[in-house]
Amino acid sequence: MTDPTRTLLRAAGAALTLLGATTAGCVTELPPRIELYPISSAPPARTFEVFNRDDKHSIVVPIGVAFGVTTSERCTRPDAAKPQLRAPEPGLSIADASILDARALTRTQGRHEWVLFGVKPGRTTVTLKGECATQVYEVDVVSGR
Amino acid sequence: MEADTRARWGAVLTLVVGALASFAGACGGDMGGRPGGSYANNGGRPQCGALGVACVGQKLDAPIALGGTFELDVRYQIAGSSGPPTTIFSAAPSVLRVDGARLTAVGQGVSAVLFLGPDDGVLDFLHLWVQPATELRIIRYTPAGAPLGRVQPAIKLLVHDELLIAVEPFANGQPLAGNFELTRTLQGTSVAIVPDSVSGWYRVVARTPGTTQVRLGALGLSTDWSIEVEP
Repeated sequence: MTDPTRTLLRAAGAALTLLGATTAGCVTELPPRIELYPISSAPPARTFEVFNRDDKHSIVVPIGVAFGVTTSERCTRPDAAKPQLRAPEPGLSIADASILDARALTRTQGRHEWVLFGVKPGRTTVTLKGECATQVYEVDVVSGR
Repeated sequence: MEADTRARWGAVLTLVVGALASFAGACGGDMGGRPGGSYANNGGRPQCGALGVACVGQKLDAPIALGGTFELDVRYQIAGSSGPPTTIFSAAPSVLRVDGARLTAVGQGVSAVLFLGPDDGVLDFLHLWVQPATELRIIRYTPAGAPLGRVQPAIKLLVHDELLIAVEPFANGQPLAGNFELTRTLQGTSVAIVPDSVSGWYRVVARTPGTTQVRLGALGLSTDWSIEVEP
């Protein structure tokens, strides 16, 4: 192989490496996010819904129905990528507990799992606050569905 | 992570929630409802909590009759620990009201019942239904407490015959759980009906020849029963 050919191949390799590094840097720039996910089912003839969409986060639950939820949080801080020995401890607060109430699950000492339940029909909000993100859910407690 | 945690807890913790009737001895007055013996003997699969870490030791196989009460007996099997102090909590007090371990069905619908530990955290929860009764049925039992079947509206007995019965609520053919105050009115003296010493059973004793019309009432319903006693 001639010297000009070697030089050309080295230049092409360097360009590909630079392109790959640039692309990888763009992909990792995701915004912080924290969300609730159900871990139990509704009783027969009743349904609850937890919507986690980019444009809307909401919960619909009938009166008297309870369901367990867990949290998932994504951080973009450099130190958040380091291995952690303990789970994050997000907080959950409810604007009007007479409409929707919550209790922590004993099995995780309330760190990131709760039971939510509809108390009476109405509308309120749930605020989930983690280490790097906060998410507000609009909640509708309905009379029966 | 959640699956591992649940599996570990499921292995360590088995919460047994029993539904026991609280009848004459505990409540004093005359009570109706499915006798306690049938809960222990009816052989169905137990119901488990929504999180899969708690199960109902005795059958909770039906809605609770609206207006009735239901006594919960909470038991735990936790490796290395006795059962923790527990508070029972109703998610919807407009459906189920809680007083200690006693639930009162005050509204039609469904309500989760939460079992809270000493840290006020949820150990598990169950959904219980409340349904209005549409019918009272008289069910006959053997002396050992096994159900024999529904008693006919008009029966014949011989003097000194004795039946063991219970008055139980149904909704559209489905038996309902729960206990309730029972009234009874007798026209005639040929039979005597007295509460049994345990559970919700009543003893019907044929005393003298003749006919007695019996009216049994509970939960806003009544049922009539004609008993003819022959010599």
